[in-house]
Parts: sequence; C-alpha cells; structure tokens
Amino acid sequence: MGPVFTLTLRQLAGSRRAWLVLGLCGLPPLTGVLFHVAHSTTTPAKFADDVTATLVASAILPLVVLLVATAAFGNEVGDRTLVYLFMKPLARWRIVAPKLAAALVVGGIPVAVSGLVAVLVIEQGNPGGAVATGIGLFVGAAAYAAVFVWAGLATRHALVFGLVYVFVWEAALAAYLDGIRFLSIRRYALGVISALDDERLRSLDHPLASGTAFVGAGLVIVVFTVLAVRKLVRIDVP
Amino acid sequence: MSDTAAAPTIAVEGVSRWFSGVVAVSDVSLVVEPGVTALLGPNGAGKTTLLRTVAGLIAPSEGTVRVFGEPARGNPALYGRIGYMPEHESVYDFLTGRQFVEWSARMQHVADVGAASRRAIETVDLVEAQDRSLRGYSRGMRQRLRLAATLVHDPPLLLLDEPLSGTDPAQRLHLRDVIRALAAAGRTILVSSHILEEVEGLADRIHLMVSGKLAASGDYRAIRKQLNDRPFLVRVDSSGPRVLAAGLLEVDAVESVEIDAAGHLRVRSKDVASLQVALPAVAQRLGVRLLRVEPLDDSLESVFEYLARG
Repeated sequence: MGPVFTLTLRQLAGSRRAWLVLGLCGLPPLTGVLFHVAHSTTTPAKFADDVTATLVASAILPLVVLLVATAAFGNEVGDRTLVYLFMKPLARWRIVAPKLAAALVVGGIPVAVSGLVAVLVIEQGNPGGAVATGIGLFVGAAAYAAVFVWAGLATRHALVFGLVYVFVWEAALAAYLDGIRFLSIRRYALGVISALDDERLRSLDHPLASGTAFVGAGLVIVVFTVLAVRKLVRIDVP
Repeated sequence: MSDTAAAPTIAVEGVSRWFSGVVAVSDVSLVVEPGVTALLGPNGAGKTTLLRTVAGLIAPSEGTVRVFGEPARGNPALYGRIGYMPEHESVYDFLTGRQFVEWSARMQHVADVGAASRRAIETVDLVEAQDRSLRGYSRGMRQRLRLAATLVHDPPLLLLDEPLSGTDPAQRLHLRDVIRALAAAGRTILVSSHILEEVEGLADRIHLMVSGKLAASGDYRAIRKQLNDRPFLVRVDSSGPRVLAAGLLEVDAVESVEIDAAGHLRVRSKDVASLQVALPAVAQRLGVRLLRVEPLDDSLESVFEYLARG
C-alpha cells in the first residue's frame, strides 16, 4: 500500500463522515430483520429487490460514496494540504488512483457488503443473488467514486453537485425522461446485478442490457478518472 | 545537458500573474543562483504568488519560469529536486510529527526513510516532540516540522515562504543557522520575508517586491544603505516652533522644515543620526523647549515604497 493510499484511508476513515457511512450501511440489513419481524406479506425475493433498487441503489449507495469520495481531494483543497501531495515527484495518476481506491475501501466496500448482507437476511439464503448484489453495488460505487473524486478537485461545491446529480438527474428527471437510464450510474449498478443473476430485479422497468451496464460503468470510471488526473495537472494549488 | 548545466537554478522571465483582473505579479524577471536569496516586500507585494509560480503550483498568466533549465509547471519529476514550504501552516494534523516527515520521505522515494527523517527532525531540533500529534504543536513547532519535511529528501533547491514567521527569537536564530548551513553546502535557497531585519545575515542577495513588481535587487548592505539614505520626516512639537524652524534650517542634515496649521514642525532629513544630535542642541541654544519628537513615516510600507521609487 502506497503512502497516498494509506494517508487517504486515515483521512477518510478517521473523519466523522465514516460514522455516518457506518450508520447508513447498517440500514439495509436492519430493514431485512424488520421484514421478518413484521411478517410482511410481500415475498422475500420481491422485498429484497425493492430494498436493493430503492433504498440501497437509489439513496444509500450514492450518498455514502458522495460523502467519502468528494472528501478524498475536497479535504485537501479545503484545508490547503494539497500542496504536500502536489509537490512530490509522482505522475499525477499515481495520486488520483490511490485516492479513488481509498474512497472505494471506505465507501464502496461497506455499501456492497451492506447490500449483500441485506439480501442474505431477507431471503435467508440465496448466496448467488447476494453476491450479485454486492458486485453490482461495488461497480456502481466505483463509477460514483470516479465522478465524485473528480468533483472534489474540480469544484468547491462538490457535495451540491453530487446531490443535484443523484436526486435531480437520476431520481426526479429519470421519472419523466426514460432515456436518462443510459446516463445513470444507478441504472448501471442495477443492470450489473441483473446481468450476474437474472432472477434479481425482474420487476425493474426498462432494465439496461448487461453489456450497456458494464460498458456504461466502465466508461464513467475511465473518463472521470482521466478528467481527475487532467484536473490535478492543471489545478492552481491553493 | 550543457544548456542545463549553464542555466541558473531559477530563471524567471517576464512573469505576470493576475487573479480575476487583480494583478498579483507584474512583469518580473530575475535569476536565482546557489546561496540564499530573499524575496523581500510588504504583505500583498506578490512574493507568495511568485514563489508559487516558481514551484509550478500556479501557471503564470504571462512569461516563463524555468527551474534547473526545465519548465516548472506540469513537470512532477522536478519535485524530487525541490523542497517547497508554503506560508500557511496547514498540515495533516491527524499524524504525529515523525509520521508527517516519514510520509514526505516516502513520497520522495528516499532510500532510508527512517535515517533521513531522524536527520531532518534533529536538524530542526524537534526530537522530543516528534511523536506528538501535530494537533498539539505550536505555530513555531509546526513551522520547524514543515521545514524538516521540506528538506527530508535533501533537495538542491529550497523554496521557503516566510520560514521564520511564528518562531520565537531563539528558534529564529537556530533556523537562520540551519538555512545558512544548507546554503553553505551548495544548495539554492529562495526565502520570502516581509521583515528587512529578518533577512540580515541570512540572505546573500535580495529581490525587493512592491505592488507586484520587482523594485530593487542587490545584496543586503546595498538595500540597507538605500534605506539609511532615504529622507525621514519627523514631527517636532516645541514651545517656539518658528524660532526652532529657523535654527534647524541652518543644520546641514535638515533638507526642509514646514510648520503646519497647529504649529507643529515637519522636519525632513536624510541623515537621521545627525538630526538626532543637532535637534536638542539647536533647541537648547535657542531656548526652545522640545515637547514631542515623532517619526512620521517609519512604517514598513513607507520604507519599501521609498526603496521601490529609488
């Protein structure tokens, strides 16, 4: 593990945001427990799909990654410590990549594990579906992280930018404009889950083809990582 | 290779930098060679902006900066040969002092991180505090620790923005000795300061900046001489202003004397030492009682502005 990765890990894991991440990630498994306690009439598979698509993929996944990934560079810009990273003889991608990786460890893995555990709890089994959910959420986390890491460098209002993207673009506008699903990280994540386990998320409207989901997520990761590197090269360091 | 070898450590040519229409640095050209060079000027003169441009942290709006013959901006490989200490005291305060220096060493690919960090921490005399969290460091301790992190990879060029600010007199003397010793070993060190006396005995050469422009360049003694030769304006309140004014005009050290509406004398002199001797003597000879003597333009800004005009 390189010094940028370990430093970022300590920055992110030691902040108050980390407690918020843990709290948010505890909700899906807790919902699973409540499902059994409340003796719901919905089938476990349907309930697991609803929790995955609405609670986890639509809210917890983007919120958690937003909180963590914008801070990866945002904290450095805000408290003026970016200069210590910038003035080192490292190719700029060797600063961006470990930051992205640390954001995924602190934000992406907890969300993926949370979704996986929630499915296991709700369905009281179905490890295949649970693993597919975990992988799909992790892919989604990687795409969100790439966008929000870039935003943390590009603007001092990265949190606002992220909230607008998640709750205006992906949630509100997607309800009216069906084509937005091709430009939605949430839909890429759900598409990957469906592709890995075709029994999951069958009730989803207009699901993305598996190829579209994988390629879309991959493109977002690559394009925004490149943009972050480019921004770091050109930034006026405060 | 020969071009690079012949090039000055830092070559700044026609550099200007403006922020949203506000000019911070205007058409500055200078070279910096091994030894200690000071960028001197009042707050807001553009010293930090120029240092940041030299470090490649910001791009110049116009002009070029070359360090070791290479472009300073967009050239990360160069940072293995530069140590830059920013003016602000921000650090990763969740680390201890030693962890911060070791992290810097690792980032600089130093072969023996432990030995280099120990050496750097010893140099700035922070051994006892090295395992304390940076959160608990005083401003002066942070300053010294940041210097340790700046020089841990033994760079041939150090860019130090106000390195002595926040330190107590003893620490200041120590850091001055450290910087002089680093320069004596062949390094190029560019320091910024807004205090003329601070660079005395520290810098071999001074570049004076005022209002974003390079106002004067030279060694400390030349700048100090200009400072001593500048006319001073002194306000004198006395029991007989008109009599005293006539008497002072006969003194060689006095350039002019004015009496304002309230009867205060404004005496202009280029030789303050002689005026200090002559003023009480003239007053005594003429039987005038001196009530108040006060320099009117001894602020730092007025000193710098005078030197800039010179």
